[in-house]
Amino acid sequence: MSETTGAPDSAETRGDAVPDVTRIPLSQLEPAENPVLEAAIRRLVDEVTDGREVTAQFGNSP
Amino acid sequence: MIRSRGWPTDLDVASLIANGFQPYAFRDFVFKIHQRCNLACDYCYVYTMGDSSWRDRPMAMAPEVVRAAAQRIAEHAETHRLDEVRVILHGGEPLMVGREGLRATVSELRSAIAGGARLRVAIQTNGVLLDERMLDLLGEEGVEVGVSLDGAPADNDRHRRYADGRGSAAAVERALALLSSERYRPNFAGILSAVDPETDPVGTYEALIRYRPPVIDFLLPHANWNRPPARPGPSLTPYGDWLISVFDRWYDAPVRETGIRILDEILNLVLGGASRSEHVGLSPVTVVVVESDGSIEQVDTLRASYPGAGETGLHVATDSFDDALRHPGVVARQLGVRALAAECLSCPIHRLCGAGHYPHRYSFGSGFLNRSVYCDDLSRIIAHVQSRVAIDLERLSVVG
Repeated sequence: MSETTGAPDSAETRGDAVPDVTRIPLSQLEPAENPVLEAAIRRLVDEVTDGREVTAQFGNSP
Repeated sequence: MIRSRGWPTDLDVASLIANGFQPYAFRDFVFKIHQRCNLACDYCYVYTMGDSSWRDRPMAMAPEVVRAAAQRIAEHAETHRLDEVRVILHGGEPLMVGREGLRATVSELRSAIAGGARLRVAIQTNGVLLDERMLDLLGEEGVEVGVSLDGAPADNDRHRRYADGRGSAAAVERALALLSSERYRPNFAGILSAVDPETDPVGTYEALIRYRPPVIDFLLPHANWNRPPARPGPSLTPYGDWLISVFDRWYDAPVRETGIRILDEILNLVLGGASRSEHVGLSPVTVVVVESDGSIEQVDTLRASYPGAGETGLHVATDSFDDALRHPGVVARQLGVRALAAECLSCPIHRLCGAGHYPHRYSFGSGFLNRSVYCDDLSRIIAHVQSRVAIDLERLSVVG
């Protein structure tokens, strides 16, 4: 588990090329230059914090 | 009727449950409220891929079927203590039930599911009938509206046409202009768009964001190992290449212009999260379909595999949704890594792609225990996203 956010350590999921995002302090996201990546990291942090079960939704409606 | 004998037909559900597998409750209930469509799109999985079951069902879902299905949802939500469920009104073209039919359907749903789980109602439409009166009704009923459009008019009209050959873009663009206006925008759920590698990906994306959709969902055309996708041009991965061009345009914009569902999910997977889409990742699929005659079925896109592929033999009048949770086809989509073929398990990104969209794995004989027919395309887009994200995260780590 990540000591920063409590997220599962999922290096196996990410693959070797990507650092463990859950170890990046949230304050460091503020100067992030990429709003898409920033939103993605915030979503992940929210999901980890929320702890709700994630299931796959219907793919033929947005 | 052609029947597949391949996996998961022979899945031993009782043994799985005895060994600890617990089915995940359904959250998305797709109601096929109208079986006919006012368009004749050439790639439609309902009408053009060999399944003609729509001909034998009632054209519209009768009020008593809506009521029975809604009561089954309430029962399911109570049994599993769900705090939210979503009903997606689908077809055919669901707006063909008319304004009063829609109002009655939503009213029946809200009445049956009142007091328990929060009910979200969405509709997926081709947009042709989406005028101000219809939008007023959908607004009053709190229905989220998704519209299908494949990009710029000429690109859209390559596939999305009326039966007489006329393109649908002009009508759909009128609808989207209304839906994206301040008055109706709160009900705008997003745009569905099928990927055509013969179109300009950036041009397609920019044609769609003119309507400021909250989400764009780019879908790979339905295909499988017996019916492989068209691959025009010299590239071996035209769909992956197309998505990469869209990704770079979207990812490098100075602001986040919209969500792109498949790319948002790949990003989340690359970062270590789980997918909320049935197109990538290994999250359990919690979708079930109610046909216009009350039959309970698996996701209807399975029709693209072989006729009758989505059948469960269950009906809302006699069976609960919990009964459907024990159907091999439903269980197969909740097994995660255990539902992957051996060739996938040896691939380093199998937890990211999840072997892609389930219908795209089908092959006569072996059923759905295969890699995706889009495997190379998915590998290419996922590797690209991994590479871009790795560079940016490394910079964040260094700055910190």
